[in-house]
Amino acid sequence: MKSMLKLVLTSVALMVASVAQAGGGSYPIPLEKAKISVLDQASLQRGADLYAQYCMGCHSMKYLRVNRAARDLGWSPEEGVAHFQHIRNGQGKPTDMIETTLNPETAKQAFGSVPPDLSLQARLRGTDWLYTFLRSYERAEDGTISNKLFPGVAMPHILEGLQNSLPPAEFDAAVGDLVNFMDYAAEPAKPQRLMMGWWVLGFLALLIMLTYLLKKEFWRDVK
Amino acid sequence: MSEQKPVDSASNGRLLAWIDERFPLTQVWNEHVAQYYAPKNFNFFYFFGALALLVLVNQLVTGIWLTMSYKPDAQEAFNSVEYIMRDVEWGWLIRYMHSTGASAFFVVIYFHMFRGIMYGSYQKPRELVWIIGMLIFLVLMAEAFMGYLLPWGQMSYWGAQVIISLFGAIPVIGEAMATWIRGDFVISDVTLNRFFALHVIALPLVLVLLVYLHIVALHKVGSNNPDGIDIKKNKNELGLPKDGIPFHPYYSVKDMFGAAVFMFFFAAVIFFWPEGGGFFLEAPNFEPADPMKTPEHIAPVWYFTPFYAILRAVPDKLLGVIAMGMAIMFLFVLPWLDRCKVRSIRYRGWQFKANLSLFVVSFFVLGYLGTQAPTPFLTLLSQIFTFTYFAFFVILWLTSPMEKTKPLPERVTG
Repeated sequence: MKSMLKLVLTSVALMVASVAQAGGGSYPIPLEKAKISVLDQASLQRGADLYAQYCMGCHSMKYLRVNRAARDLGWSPEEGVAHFQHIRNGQGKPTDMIETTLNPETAKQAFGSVPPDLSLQARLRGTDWLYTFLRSYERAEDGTISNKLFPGVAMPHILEGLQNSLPPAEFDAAVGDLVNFMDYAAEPAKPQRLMMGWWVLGFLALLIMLTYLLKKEFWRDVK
Repeated sequence: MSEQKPVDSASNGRLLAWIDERFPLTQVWNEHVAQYYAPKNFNFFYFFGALALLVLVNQLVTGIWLTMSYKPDAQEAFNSVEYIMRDVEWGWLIRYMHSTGASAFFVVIYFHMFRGIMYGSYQKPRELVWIIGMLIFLVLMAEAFMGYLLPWGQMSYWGAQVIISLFGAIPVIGEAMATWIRGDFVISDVTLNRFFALHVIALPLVLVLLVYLHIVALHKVGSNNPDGIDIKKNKNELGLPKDGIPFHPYYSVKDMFGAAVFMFFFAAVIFFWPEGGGFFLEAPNFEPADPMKTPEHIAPVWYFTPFYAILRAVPDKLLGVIAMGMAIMFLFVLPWLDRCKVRSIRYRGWQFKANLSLFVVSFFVLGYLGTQAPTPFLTLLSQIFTFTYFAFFVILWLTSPMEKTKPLPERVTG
């Protein structure tokens, strides 16, 4: 029994390890780890502002409502409108979704494709992918732009100005904030989930102890 | 168990007496709980039956709440899942409990089945317990498959497309059959609606009925144990098995402890690892289904991958489908393939131990290979392990009559 259990558990461990390792492949360049946390509210606020400034011109987050994001980021609904809906020239409402004003047809003419919705990109691509992608743009001698992670991507190097104005470490931190906000946007319940999890596990640990003692008490007369 | 103690109505209170005259409440309670004598030597592997029941209840309850906000409509399904994740109070928790519960169900069931094989629980007289259990496994796979289409993400869509197209491999009627199942020439709104109907009402009803029959059959013959010996052979003066203890309170409190430990791990996944590294919630499923865009790599959810690897290992599509079906069918007939008189691995010969180890390794390796995009090397590997998977059954049938078994103890051991 013990040896069988060991066999099963070792196999599980080996599988998980090999799968985890195999998961990384198939990108042109290795992904860099985005060291971010959705529990860092200041980072989320900075990320939200960067998003509104650099991304929202073309990309929507159709599943994220302005007042919801404002609440989770520690802003009032009106502040939320100010941060997210400024491109609507005062027409924005707290109950609006965070949507771009760019017409899809215009986008298609300008870029060749409609910029994707960014609500769920962090869960679709992963935060490490986004972090690496946004930092992998290069401008060649002849002025052409390319991306090492995503060759032929239609999106221009929108953060070029930011990159040129900041020291590399600060630019990386800014991209981290932006990706952090996208991670939050992909799952607005995530901060709550992470904080609540410890309480749930604590409660269950207590329950394990109590049920164990209960079992021991009842089983005392079993020989 | 079969001996009924006379029910003392007076001490049970007047309400209970009133009920007992009209419905055998006390009798059923005693027969299946308070006086159901289970062997006292259950170990770790014996938690999983009760845990399977717990997960079933979790799936039913969270499922009911999900249907309150989910919309089975190709235009709305994906949006409604995001609505549940974002706008429904505690919707994210209910959804994660359901999605993690699906994976947990298979983890628990695979342990439960492994226990049955290891201790020969399928052997006479428990063949029907095993067969009903296998039917549960089969229905559970159908239930999981149909549920996986409902979020209407890319992997939902293309996973279903691949699996249903397998029916097309059946000669003559195959294509018509696949069209009949989908209700369309491709996976569409029609398919989504019927899968929803089957997932939320038809299959759960069958599942609950089968679980009921599984327990009825088990309680007729009594539980096996890690020693694989019959505890009913040794009875005390009251006619109760000496090595048996009443399920309640002994195993009810022990299972409460097991449930608490299980819930700890379950909650750890829900709160800190809901995607399960892409195995419980696959990344491509965060993109809405797009019939015009095939994902680069389509893999079923992890609990199907061993069988998927067997399917792909066979070069011919029809033979592959047959092999996949046989991989499950062989499990059904285990009670007759195993001709050993000894049940438990503790007292069986080296052949069985080596054979079962090879089977476990094959299952895991195939499970891994099923998640990977095929390469010539990996295909060769999956062919080798498909062979060893099936070899288990053949070797079992050939070697089980001549295994050198150890003498069985009179009474159960620790």
